[in-house]
Amino acid sequence: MDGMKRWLVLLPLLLAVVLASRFAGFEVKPRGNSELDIGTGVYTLPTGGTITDNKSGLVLEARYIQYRDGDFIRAREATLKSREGDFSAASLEYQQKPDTLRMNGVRFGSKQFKGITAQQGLLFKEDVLVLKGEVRSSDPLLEAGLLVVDTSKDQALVLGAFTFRDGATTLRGNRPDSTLLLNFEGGKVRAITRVPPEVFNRLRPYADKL
Amino acid sequence: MWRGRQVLGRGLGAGLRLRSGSFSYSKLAKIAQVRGQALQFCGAGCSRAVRRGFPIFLLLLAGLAWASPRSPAPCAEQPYTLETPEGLAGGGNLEFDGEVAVFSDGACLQTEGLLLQAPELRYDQNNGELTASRIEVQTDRYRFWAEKGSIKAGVLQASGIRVTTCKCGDDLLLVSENLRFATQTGEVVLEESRLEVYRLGLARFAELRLDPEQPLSEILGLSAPGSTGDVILPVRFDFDQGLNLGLSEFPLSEPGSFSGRFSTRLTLLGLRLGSPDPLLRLGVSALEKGRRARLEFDLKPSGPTSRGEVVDGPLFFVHDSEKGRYAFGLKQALGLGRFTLTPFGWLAQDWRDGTPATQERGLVAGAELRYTFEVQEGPFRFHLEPFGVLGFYNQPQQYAAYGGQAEGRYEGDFTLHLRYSWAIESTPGRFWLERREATQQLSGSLQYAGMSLEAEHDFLKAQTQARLRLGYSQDFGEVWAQFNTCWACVGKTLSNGRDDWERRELVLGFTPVPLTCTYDLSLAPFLGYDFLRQGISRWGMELRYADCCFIWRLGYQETRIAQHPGETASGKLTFGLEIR
Repeated sequence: MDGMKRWLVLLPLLLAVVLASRFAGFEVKPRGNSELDIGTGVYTLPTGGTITDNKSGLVLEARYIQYRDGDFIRAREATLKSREGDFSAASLEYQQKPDTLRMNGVRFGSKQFKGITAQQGLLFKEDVLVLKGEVRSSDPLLEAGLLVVDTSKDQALVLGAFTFRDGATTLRGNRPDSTLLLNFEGGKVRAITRVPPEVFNRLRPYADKL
Repeated sequence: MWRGRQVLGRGLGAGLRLRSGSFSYSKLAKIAQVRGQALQFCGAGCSRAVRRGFPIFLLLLAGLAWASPRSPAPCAEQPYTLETPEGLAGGGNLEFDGEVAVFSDGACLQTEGLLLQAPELRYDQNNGELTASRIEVQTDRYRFWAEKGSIKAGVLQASGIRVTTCKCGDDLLLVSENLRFATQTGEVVLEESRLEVYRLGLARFAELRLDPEQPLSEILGLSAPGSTGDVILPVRFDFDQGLNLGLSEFPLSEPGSFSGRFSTRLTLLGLRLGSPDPLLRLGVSALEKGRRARLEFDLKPSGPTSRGEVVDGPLFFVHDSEKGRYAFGLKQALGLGRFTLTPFGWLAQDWRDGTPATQERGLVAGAELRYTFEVQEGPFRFHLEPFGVLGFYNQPQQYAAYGGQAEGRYEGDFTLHLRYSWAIESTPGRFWLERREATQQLSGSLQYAGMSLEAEHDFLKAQTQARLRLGYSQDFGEVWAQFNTCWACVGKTLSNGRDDWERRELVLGFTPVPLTCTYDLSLAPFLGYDFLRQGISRWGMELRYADCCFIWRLGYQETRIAQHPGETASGKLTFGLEIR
């Protein structure tokens, strides 16, 4: 149990640290004990807790959290409230460099999409969210393999075969190279399969990072 | 490219496919297109046939023909599809704002009874209307072009219509101003249309009803229902004991709605020209609901003859001057459940043995009572139809006859059919119309796989006829052998100067599969041998050639030893045409 020797059991405490741009300055509220591995500088909250970024309003709540100042936050059975929407994930990992949030077993809700789930998710600093693997949303009804959501521009790019339902009509992309651009404007969704090159070239590279 | 597929049947339905098309071709472009399409139309089988050229031609002369299955390209396989209450729309690309969907880069709509393709389709979700231009509808039998059209509530309305049955090109064309297609019923109505063959206008129709499942020849009344596009040509040019040339049942179009038959037809024929017994025939026939009339006049060296029939409801007038038969009267069938009572009465003349010496003339009144019983249980069917006829002449003589027929049929793994028919006359009837000639016949047939056997025994003539046919089917066609017999048929007939119709004839032949490829050939030969008279009884062949629009048939049949009273030993050159 050499590893255990390096762990230092600390009393519950409040920390205010500067972590990164997204979690620029945050509070950690452990639900139980907080452990610090002084060899690695990794904090572990084995019974979870809440991390709040007071500046950005991000709130991370999880049943298990591990983090290192200025580097990463890892969490399991986590929920995250953000500008882009509310996430819940079976597990997530925040990396400061680059500023990304990687998730597994994602559930996400935003003003554009309600009740969207995916096997994997990746949130970039630029307010771009990539969802991959059995992507499903209930409103609008969407089934896809890969979805890139640009929350700042109210756009979403679907890549690969998909099913999209709006009202009484159901749109399907039947091929692996199908594309669909959804523009959310004033409560309506406009769907285009011929994606403008500048939009495609801007959003497509995000998909490759997941 | 022009490959077609039956999308749906009538109702569920008659399949139409619309696709992008061009309305004007230059001649060269058209030829190139035609050749390209021909290669693509039938797939590998035809490509092979065209490329191999002459060797294939030789193989075809050996009686072979190729067919290849058609493969569909349904709307569901488009890159993008939109499920709408109107059906499944698809295309290469789509723009949809939640109200209007615009498919581009090749688009389609598949709805009940309709598969539509066009360069661009616009679907308005609010009013459920789909609009398109430069569209083409394709079924197994037809290609429809339309300059523009719209679909709403299951009805396609289009304008600037061209319809062809041709697999490539449009040498056989229906040009129409408007088209209306009800997808639910499968009915297509062409308004203000005209029929063109090789750019030559042949007929005009104010309103022409089309069934996409029905051959054009049948729709135009140029072939019998159920035939496969075989056209009964209104123009005749063949050789049989002499040259036969002229118009036969030539359709004369009239204003008004048209669906199925030309009401008026003209015949002007020279028959057996060049032979010792030439004939000039002039005929006209007219048909409308409940009425029909047909008159024919023959001019020949032995004198003029005529025959005809005029029927208006129960009233009729029939005559055949050659047989000395004339009758004017009435006949009306009255249904009484399973019974049918047909009272009749006529003033008639008849030559009983075909010569004026036995002329009968007089009045008759009477009735026929017929009972029909039919029962079907699974594959078994039984039909019984006895009848009785009673007639009173303007003489002390009366006429009574009775008889009927009993028929049993089994249709399962094999088909078995047995029928017994009989009729007994008290005294011979005076006129052919009421006469029910004495009959006592047992007939039957058996069909199993490639084998069929038919036999008939006439108890009154004590003669038996039978036909056994064995066929061996392959992908390229069927090789068959048929054995025709007639036992105890000695001295029964004196036609053609012969009194012996005993028959033991074996006919061998090959029937190629129907031509499905453009620019394809096939040959159907046959050869018969008479075992009793030890000689070739008949031989012949039919050459078939398929171009874009038609299947041309040229045949020669020669009967060397006549086998029954209806045959004469002679050669016959035939010419046939089918609309593909």
